Amino acid sequence: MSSMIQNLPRFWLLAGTTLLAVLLQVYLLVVSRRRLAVQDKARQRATQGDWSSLAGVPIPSWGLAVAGALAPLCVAAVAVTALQTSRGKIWQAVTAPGEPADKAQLLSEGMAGDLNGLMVGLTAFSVVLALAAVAVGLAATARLRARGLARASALSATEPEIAAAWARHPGPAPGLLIGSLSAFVIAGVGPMIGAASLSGSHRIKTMADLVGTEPSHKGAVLAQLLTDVTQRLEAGLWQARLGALVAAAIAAGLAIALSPARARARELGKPAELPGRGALALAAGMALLAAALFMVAQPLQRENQTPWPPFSSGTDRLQLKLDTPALTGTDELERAPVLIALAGGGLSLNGRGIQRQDLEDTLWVLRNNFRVLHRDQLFDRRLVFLCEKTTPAEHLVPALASVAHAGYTRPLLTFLRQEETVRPLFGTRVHTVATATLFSVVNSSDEAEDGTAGVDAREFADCAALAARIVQLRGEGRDVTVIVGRP
Amino acid sequence: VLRSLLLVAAGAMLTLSVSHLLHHYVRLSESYGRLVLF
Repeated sequence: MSSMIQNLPRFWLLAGTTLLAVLLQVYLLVVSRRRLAVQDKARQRATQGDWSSLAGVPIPSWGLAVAGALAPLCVAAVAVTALQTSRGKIWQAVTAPGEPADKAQLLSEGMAGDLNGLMVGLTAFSVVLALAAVAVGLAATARLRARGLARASALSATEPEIAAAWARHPGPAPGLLIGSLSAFVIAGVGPMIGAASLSGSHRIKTMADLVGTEPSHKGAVLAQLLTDVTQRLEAGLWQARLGALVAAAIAAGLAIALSPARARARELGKPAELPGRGALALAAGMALLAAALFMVAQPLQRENQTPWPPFSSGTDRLQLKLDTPALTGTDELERAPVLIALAGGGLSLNGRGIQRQDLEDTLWVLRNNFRVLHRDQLFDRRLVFLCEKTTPAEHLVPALASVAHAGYTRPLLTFLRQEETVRPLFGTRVHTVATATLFSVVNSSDEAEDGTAGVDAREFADCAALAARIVQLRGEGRDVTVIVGRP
Repeated sequence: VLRSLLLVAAGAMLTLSVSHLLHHYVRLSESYGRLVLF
């Protein structure tokens, strides 16, 4: 709980707003029940002929009911500001320059805050919304019935028959408004809240399981989780749409069955009166609010409906900017030491510059380390190898010869390319995708495995030419052995 | 009844808009997640 509070910005503001909103709904419930009880007593006395009893019935203002209706919106607004703070941290982590450790911290805080904010915000919103459906329904009932009784009182001297009808049916029964509002909340909004909560629980569970996942698989698990969450939310939205129609049918049924205007008209043998201006204004206001909410959702909808490039396990794993040959490998990038051969002849192993004469010994050290760290595994002979496209053979071949001599005979020739996506909400985003081609490297042709396509690296001018040949052969489905000579 | 049906229709629209907005706001978490993966 304490970590959740820590990870959720503006937790106390959200908690305070929710508490106030709940207290307001409870107050509204108590006050409205009391008002309805007073009205009922006066109404009974009026139907027995004591019309003066109606004169003392106060007409409650709309103020409290409107405040009650706005309370869920206030809770939602505070939850949104909390969520936006967390999402801002995610945005900062992926866009602003900074130390990787600081960025990781921001990312972790942002993601935890987004998830916690969603769960806490949804719970707070649904509790206040459910209470508001009852409290506002009761408050509106009290107001409408008080107005009906005032009408009965006004008519009692001149038209006692009509006044009696108004006294018997002064306004909607509590069940009409509470039932209708609850139907809209439960059937219309409930499925969406349910789907969002379930998807949040699914996210929490998957994120917890992610701790024990192999680091190289985490991205794929996360990508699958995001797809699952979207599908669940889509299903929830369709259920909510269907639910809104069911709720409308229930509310219409209740309105027809329990309409006080129809009851009065039946009693008096006259047609029911036309809707007042207040009802028309309320309906128009609700329609306008709905249109405004649809408009607010529009940019979010555009962002959500713009597809992302498919997840690539090589995405940004290497965090490199290098002008590699413009080719795409078809093999999976794996975790292994990373060797880069630069056009000027420089070499870099695992991010550090290295002299060529030291390369083989250092690779032997890494190979021994692998054996110590993975006692139960065979040495996989993998090396992630990158070269700039203009790296000449005179630099490339000796480096590969050291690689082969140190036993890293199954390297992954790796290519980087910039991928760009234009997002409606986030603008243009660019990232580096790494793809790899697996090949064998040997010092002499007699070491090449039978049936593989032999390629002599010394016959190619540069990295681009050699890489093109390897990719071409791999594309034809052949295993490739590159012969590089002795170091 | 006409008044009630008018309000019911407006209520249905309002409900649809609330769940629509809620859906897209919650779903935006996916975009933030993809932002991290991209």
